[in-house]
Amino acid sequence: MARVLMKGNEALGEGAVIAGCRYFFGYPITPQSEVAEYLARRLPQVDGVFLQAESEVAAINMVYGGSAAGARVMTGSSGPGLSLKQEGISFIAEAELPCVIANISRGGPGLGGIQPAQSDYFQSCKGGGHGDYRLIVLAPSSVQEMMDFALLAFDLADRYRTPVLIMSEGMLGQMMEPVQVREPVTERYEKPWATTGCINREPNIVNTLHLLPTELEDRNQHLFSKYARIAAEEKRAEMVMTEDAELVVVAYGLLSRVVKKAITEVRARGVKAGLIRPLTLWPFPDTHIQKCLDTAKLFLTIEISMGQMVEDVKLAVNGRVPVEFYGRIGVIPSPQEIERAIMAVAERGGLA
Amino acid sequence: MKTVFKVPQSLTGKEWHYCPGCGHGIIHRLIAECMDELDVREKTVGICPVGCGVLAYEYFNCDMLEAAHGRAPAVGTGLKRVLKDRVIFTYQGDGDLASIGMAEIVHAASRGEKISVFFINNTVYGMTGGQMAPTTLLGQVTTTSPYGRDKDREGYPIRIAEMLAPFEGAAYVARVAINTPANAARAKRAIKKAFETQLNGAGFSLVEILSTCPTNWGLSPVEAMQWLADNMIPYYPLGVYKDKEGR
Amino acid sequence: MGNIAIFSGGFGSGKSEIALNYAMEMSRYNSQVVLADLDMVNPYFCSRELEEVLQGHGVKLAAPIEMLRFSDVPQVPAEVIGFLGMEENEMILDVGGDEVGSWVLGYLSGHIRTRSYQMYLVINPFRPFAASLEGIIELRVSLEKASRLQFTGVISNPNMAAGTEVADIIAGHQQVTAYAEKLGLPMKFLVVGERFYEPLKAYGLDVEVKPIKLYLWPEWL
Repeated sequence: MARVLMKGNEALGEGAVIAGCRYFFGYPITPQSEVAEYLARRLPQVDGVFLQAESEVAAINMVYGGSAAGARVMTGSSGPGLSLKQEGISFIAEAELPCVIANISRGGPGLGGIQPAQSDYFQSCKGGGHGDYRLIVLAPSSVQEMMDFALLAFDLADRYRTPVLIMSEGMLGQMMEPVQVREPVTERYEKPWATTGCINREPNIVNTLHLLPTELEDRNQHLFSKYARIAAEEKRAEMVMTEDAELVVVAYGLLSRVVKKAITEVRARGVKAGLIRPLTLWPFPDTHIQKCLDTAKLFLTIEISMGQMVEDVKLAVNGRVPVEFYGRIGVIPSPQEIERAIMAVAERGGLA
Repeated sequence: MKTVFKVPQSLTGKEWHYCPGCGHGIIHRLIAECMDELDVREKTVGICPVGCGVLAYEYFNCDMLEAAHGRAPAVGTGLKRVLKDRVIFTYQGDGDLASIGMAEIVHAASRGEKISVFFINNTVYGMTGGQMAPTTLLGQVTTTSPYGRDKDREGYPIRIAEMLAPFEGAAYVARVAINTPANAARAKRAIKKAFETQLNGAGFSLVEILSTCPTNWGLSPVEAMQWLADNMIPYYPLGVYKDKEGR
Repeated sequence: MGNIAIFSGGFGSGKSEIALNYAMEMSRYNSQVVLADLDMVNPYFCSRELEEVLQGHGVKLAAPIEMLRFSDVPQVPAEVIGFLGMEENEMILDVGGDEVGSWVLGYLSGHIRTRSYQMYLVINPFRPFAASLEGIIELRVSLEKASRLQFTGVISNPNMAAGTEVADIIAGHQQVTAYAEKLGLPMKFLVVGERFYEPLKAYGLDVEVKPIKLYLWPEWL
């Protein structure tokens, strides 16, 4: 199919349509609104439903209902809106309802601003809502990946019966790049658990209430055995020049592309640097990080936050080598700035 | 021998967890009888609230969901948009619908979502132990209005049927009670009408059902029925507030 | 006497870059060039960031106040109305994409219509909603309705951002030319990235080709 020039937000929306999603429930918030606007125009063309909910809270609960009905459904928002959705996300995770949630993120805390930020990492990967649960979290870095990860997200959601969150910087949503439009997904997962009316079968119940202590613990054990399976099978990361890297930089999303550029420069200056770009923020690709420990003398995590993913990098490295951090908020640092940050760390660590 | 009493097919027949004399059991049965009579059990999906009705999925013999507190109308919206030919109902109490879920019910009504809402008004939060609800009457003592609900302190009770009936999207809105056999028979007719409204695609339907909570009211079941008649009906008048189809 | 040039089109059709380059070109002929950034829709890639570059060329920028640039609060810079009233100004209006972006023109149309104006429909045929003639016709109708102004020409901007190849430009321009004919609008010029200007000469295209420098694209992309 054709190559077209798309914005990240459009590619995400079209990716959902290609994946067979016909239901989007959302609420306007900058910089996510374009996803909603794209689908408001696109979904009726394919007999789908776009519904602007009265609130973020209602939107995620419409997703709960739509997913329970067996459909591929999606919602999207940005930081403050995701905060409001957390109750519903916790219910959806517990009820094991597949769905896709997009966070076209902005900077916080509070109302913050629409400047570039990756400060929703904790919210996305460490719960966000109440109770013990995980989301699969995908971090695209290009407009093509906005489309491809939408397809991947719906597949993972159905395969594991779990909500999948796509986290993108707001700027990636606005950027335009050529996209190879994918073929429509025709493969469908059986959903015998869906509440579609009990014609010729026993009633199905979608429920998150477990009053008996043993039953509650069993449910949590069940969820965590599933999360263990996901962690074993779905960790993804792009490795760039890590084979001999002494200084391993970890960065994700759009920012990782700036870092990649800087790494090339740093290499030219004689520092053996490499990049690990997590594609899945949860499950976090700790095994990819551990693979680098044979050569790595130092890790540097770069984020557009005050330091969130760096905690997972530290857990993965587990004290074997130092882990440093460089962060900005509200701006995507230039390759030159990142190069300076990497060189400074390299010099302190005796690697330059 | 003539059968004079049997469990409707739309109920599982499991033993209620409700207190003796509680209105929920009566209302469950009325809803289930309507489902049987309309022959919609297999195409119905119900949504339970957070409240004493949270376990309603144990009793209704159809596909059921349990929603977060107050969110049933949003969940119902998601279901109905996907399953256009199915019958969707929510079963919600006064705290669930009229307090924490006020936004969801107002917007579902205004959008004219083709779902049926059964709103059980017993003036208290039953499940959490008798706290004040948005529908608690003036002067009524609850655990969180220990001096009696005061208009200057807690404000006035909300009349949901009157509030939602004017919405263009609302096709059928009625208030009924279950305090006498005659009223229960009227309640059943309203419930059936709500389902029919949905089946005809006419729009949103809601039946507010005045019920009792003898336990949290501190009254015997019989006294509670009398209390409903003496105190609730004067403030919450019974009747059909909206019937777009006019039958 | 100055003119009013309005660059309008679908989301992401390239209006802002073209308006910027056009403003700098105009500054060679007119000492009073004003670029009005009326893009209320896209807060990341609009011309506000370029004030300094523009000042170097003597182009005055009318843009939302500093505090609002990265907010999601849309603001029409108040001075735009004043500038529109000064006939000696060469006015260049960069508006947001789609119907939504053109509503601001409807708001200003009373001021615009008192002078002669050119309104250009910028088309990049590689954008999803510009892939068919029906889409373009629908866009034209909605933009004219929203702006309460009439298009006077088409600007061809076939590109795939950083992934553009010469073949894309040739094929895309052919498509835009066909659109312009069907729309009954003259083709004003073809816009290409600077690096394509020389290679394109060999194709002998029957159109004025304007090379543009990309100011709004981060260099690391």
